[in-house]
Amino acid sequence: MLRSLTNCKYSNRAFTFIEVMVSLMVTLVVALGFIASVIYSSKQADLSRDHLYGLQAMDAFQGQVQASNVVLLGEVSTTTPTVYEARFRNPMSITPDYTNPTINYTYTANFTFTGWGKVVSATANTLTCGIATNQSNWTTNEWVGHYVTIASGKGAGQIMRITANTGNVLTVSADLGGVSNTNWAINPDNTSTYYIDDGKTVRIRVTWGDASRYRTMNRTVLVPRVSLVPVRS
Amino acid sequence: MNPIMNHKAGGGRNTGGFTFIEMTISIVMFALVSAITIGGMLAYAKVAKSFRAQQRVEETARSFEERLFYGMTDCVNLTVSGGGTVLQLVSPSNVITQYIYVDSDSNNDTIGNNTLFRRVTANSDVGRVPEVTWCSRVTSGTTTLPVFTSITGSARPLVQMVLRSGDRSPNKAANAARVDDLLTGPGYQSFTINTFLTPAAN
Repeated sequence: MLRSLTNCKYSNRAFTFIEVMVSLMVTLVVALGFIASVIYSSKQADLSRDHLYGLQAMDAFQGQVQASNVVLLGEVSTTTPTVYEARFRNPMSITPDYTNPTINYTYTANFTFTGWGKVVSATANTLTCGIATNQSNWTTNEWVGHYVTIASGKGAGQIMRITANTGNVLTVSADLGGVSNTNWAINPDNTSTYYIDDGKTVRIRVTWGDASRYRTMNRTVLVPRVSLVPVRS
Repeated sequence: MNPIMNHKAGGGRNTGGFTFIEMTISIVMFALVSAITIGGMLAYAKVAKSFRAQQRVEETARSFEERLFYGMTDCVNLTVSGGGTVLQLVSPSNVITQYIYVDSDSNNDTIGNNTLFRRVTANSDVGRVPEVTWCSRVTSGTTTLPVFTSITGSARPLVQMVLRSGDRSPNKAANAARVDDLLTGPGYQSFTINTFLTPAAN
């Protein structure tokens, strides 16, 4: 080893041009990688902020929906366009911070109302429901475990637990206490109205972003039919 | 004798120190790498400071909103007074909680002394708790919006809250003039609280 060191052929040479260039390239790549990571982190911070604004927009829309008169909420044919609740028929938008040029889009909410309406017919343990105007049918078994209340008409006041559902038919084979194989005490009919969870369910979808970053957030909100909260005069 | 220590043993210059050229290149490259490293670290520190400041204003806003929404679950009525600077929550058992926006120097631009407090005693500032600091009222055009606005037409009491946490404006020169940057660091670290509140208690 000592011999090889003392007789090393290249021990006294300077760096070659190639070596210098390689070193500079390595340094450059490391620097660029570092800068790229900083820029990427910055973009991630922007996404985090935008998501937070999305969450806030969702809270804001939820607050507005829950301040509604549940009787009018989602009703299309029986309300005038000027009532507060009519605003939710169309998409609503919020611009979170219009002074910030890096947020150049708005947060838009769409509202879907479901979970209430008129009864079409009933058997001992089913309820065939009319789906309100502009509403789509339910997803199979989406209401399992929830409760349906007959709000008016024949059989009013009964509350039953839902054990299955199709697009518009509820199977109700348990009472409020969860006792199974329980039938309606009085079968509702087409004079009856129903509310699932004793209110109107509002599905809020908030979207934001552009074509490259299109984000969506969903939330389901119940606006109770009966409330002890003082109503604004 | 160790041949490495004996210059004559190996002959020529092969056992000598670095040449002037080698030293110069080494120093230049070391300086270059050091400059890039230090520059990068300084840049990263600056960016990290901005991140932390942005995170702070976001967390402040978000945690306050969560507390406020939690307060709504034990609230049966909301009222706004003081020209949109005071929000009052009333619980089912008639316990009153108030939030009050205070601008100590009546200058919306100096965010350092603008604070949203929670009063522990109704209509009294004794023992009030700061909830959001470094904040300001939002300006729309030439109008400075109230922090709390009572919305009409809804079945339940509904209040819109608009408040900016952090810098007032992305305008760098304006921030410097308003000493925003002394508090939050360079850049635009801001989060605008814009939400609607309605009582949720039965």
